[in-house]
Amino acid sequence: METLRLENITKRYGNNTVVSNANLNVAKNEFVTIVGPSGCGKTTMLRMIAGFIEPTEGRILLDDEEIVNTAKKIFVPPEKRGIGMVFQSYAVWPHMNVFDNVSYPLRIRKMNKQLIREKTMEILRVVHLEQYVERYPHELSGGQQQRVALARALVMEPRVLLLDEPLSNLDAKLRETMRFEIKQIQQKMGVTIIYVTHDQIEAMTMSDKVVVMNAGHVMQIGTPQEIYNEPVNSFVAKFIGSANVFPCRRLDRPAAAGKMAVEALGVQMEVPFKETKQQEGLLAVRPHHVFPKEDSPLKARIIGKLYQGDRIDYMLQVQDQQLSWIADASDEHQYELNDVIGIEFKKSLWLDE
Amino acid sequence: MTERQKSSSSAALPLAGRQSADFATIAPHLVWWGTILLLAFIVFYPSIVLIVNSFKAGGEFTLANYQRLFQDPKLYTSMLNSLKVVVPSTLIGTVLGVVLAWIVARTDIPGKKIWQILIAVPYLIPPFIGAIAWTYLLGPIGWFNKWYMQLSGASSPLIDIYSLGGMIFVMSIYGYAIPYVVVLPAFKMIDASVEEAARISGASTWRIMRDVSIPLLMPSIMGGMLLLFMNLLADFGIPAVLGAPKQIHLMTTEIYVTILNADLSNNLQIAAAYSMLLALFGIIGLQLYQKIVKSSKYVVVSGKSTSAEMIKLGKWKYPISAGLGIVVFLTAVAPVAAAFFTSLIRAYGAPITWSNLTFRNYARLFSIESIQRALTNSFTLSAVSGIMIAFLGLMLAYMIIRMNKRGARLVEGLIALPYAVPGTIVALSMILAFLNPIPIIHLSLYNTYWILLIAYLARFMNLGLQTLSGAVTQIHPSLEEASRISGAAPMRAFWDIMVPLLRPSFYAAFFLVMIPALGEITLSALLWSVGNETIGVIVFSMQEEGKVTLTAAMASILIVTVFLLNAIVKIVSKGKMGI
Repeated sequence: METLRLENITKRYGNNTVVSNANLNVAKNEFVTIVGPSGCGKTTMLRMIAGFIEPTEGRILLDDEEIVNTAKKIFVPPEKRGIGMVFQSYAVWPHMNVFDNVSYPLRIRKMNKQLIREKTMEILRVVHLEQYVERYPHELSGGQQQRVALARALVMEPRVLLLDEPLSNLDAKLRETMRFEIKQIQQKMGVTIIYVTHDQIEAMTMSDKVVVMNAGHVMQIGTPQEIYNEPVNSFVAKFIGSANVFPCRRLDRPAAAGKMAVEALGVQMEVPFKETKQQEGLLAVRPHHVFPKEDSPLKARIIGKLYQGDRIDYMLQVQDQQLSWIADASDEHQYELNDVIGIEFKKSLWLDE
Repeated sequence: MTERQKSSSSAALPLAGRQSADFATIAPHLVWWGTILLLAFIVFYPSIVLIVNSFKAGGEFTLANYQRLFQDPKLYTSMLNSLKVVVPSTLIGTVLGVVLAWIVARTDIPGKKIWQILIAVPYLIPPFIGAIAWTYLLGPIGWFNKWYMQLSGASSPLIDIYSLGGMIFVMSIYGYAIPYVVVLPAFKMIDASVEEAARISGASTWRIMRDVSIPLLMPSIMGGMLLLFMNLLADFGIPAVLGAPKQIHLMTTEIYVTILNADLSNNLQIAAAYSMLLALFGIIGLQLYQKIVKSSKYVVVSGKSTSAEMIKLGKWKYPISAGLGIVVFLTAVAPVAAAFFTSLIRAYGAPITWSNLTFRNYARLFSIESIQRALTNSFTLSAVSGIMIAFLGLMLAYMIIRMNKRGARLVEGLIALPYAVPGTIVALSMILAFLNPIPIIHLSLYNTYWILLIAYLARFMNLGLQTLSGAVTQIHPSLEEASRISGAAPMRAFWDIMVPLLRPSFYAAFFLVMIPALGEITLSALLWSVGNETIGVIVFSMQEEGKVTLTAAMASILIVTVFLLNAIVKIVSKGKMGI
């Protein structure tokens, strides 16, 4: 039984399709991140799960119970879903102190006062805010307000916890700290988390599963390793990490085991085998998988060089393509602008699109 | 927390379809459509009746009324008078307002906080009270003229305020408040970098003002000027006090006289046609204003910009402070002092000595029955309309902004109409609509307390809606959503989150309606009846009857009350609203 399941979820506003046919399964205690550029539909997805937006088509099931079914006109409102949510702006209520903010979900559920106090103080301890119970939001820092929002969402022991770009308003140092803490809390308390962000580093470092979205479509769902090593298309390849992507043509001649012969950049080479029906396609090579090779038939001219301390970012001109190459700065060879060198790709990937 | 138990109410997920209709879901719809019905009754219906009547003469449809407008010399003259008075007043008032705004916003004049309050005082004083107060100074036997005649030995006064010139003077003095209030925020928000770019290019302070600042602020200045023009054109109080006694009529008082002229056949319909013309001016003005305000070409003022440098006045501090002092003296101190002293004097015209001062006028005031009634009526009318408008404003603002209701723009338009259109026209439309008893229910509203209440509601509803709309937009929707996801149903979320956060604005709206409603004259002058007098009506009629000291006493009471209410608004809204 999955905790959360989205089936063929679509959201349209007039002629504008914001989310198109999304499918997703989330298992218990999984940390799932939905990542993508602005406008890709990730926040809409999250708000459909929360119940603030009604899908145009599709089903949503929570613990195997239907909370949305557009065909049968089933729609459970947000207050009845037992889902917790941390908003991007934290949405901490200015007219209530920390205790009242965090205990609110329990007060709605009319628990007895003693129990409310216990549970609230316990969750405040988890987020390290127990000394601030009496304080009001305007007396707290941004990071502290965010913890209040987190505590409030967790106190009701939600089936699923939704986080809408929670770290985007924090400075870099605080972001790192909170990333770690959120993950810790999740593991300690055992919560299923759906996390929305545009930051692919957050997606990669925190998640069990990553959902990459673009323009309303789910591009790929997989573990961080799968997403990084086996992107299904050039969008995912370029969005997660960075990638050089250029045209490539499959050759019919046989190749070594596990490989296939292709022609790209005016040169023939052998790349890892990929099942495909297409003759023409794309080749994706990550910048740090480019290596200099003296007698390589593939020649490149260095047209840009940026020294970064631990590495050097080179820009290469190969035929009509510009490729990015990241080299370890401790290499003996340091190349200069306009040098022509031979290169090879230690790792590459065929992409249909 | 080792065991995760599902708390009771989140575990129960109803598998049934949408929640069946219960009170919580129907209530908002009831309020919405109920309001639309109310607005249809108090705004739409009277408007239609007014328009239709303008085309009726002797029971048939005709353009005769409109033809009269341009043939009857009286009507024609009053139109010209209006323009002769309003246009110069608008120009003077705008220049004065802009200069004052500039001094307050852009210079380092000392005592800024106090000046800001004092400069805004005219906003609180009802214009006709200001006009009356000025008659104590510049009327034929006003203090100023008496001193002049004593000093120079002349036998006739120097200045007669009962004239076109007098009206221009008073309108300019009180009018500056509107452009001031409109332009001041724009001055404060202008982006420093546009001026700094000019300075680094070599421009002097004066050149910067001329080439950069003023052109950028033109839309605000134009907007303020238009608002002032419409406001002055629609004003009834000042021409009624300063013009009517000498039969000098502006459009508004001409309409008033026509309405009261029972001898003229078809008088209401003629007045209706005249109103349409006046309303046309107003609507054109409003459209122009919207266009100017919306044109984004000049938007270099943003919320985040660093504010521009303050101009150091140096030795100019003294003359400019003196200038401010003169303005404040003329607009606030002199008339208010004149009103107070006149109210305390034993008999009008007597010199001010200790033996001539007395509270007798106040005592007499409270002993007259019609005045007691007027005080009660005005306070209850203002309070009741205040409460109703605050409530309706709260609910409508919430529904329009958060709930995307159908017909929102229609509702906003119907609410804005009676506020934008001159009060005289609103009153006439009420008369025409409710002169005869309402069919079917046989309810007669004319000459009752209720017609006044309805007129006040229609007239001031916009204030409530604007105040609360501003407040609602400041509250981020996620605050309510957080409540919803924590388990609260929509009404609970509204009660727990919106209501506490909107409470200050709610109270402010109540008082912001009470303030103009207490001193209201334009609607009351036409809709009152014996037993249903208001403060404005009493002051007006006593002024006409020449009961100067009593009028002064009443005016003083009104001024003090309004100041008090303003102070309450400031406290209640934590300084965000009010002068």
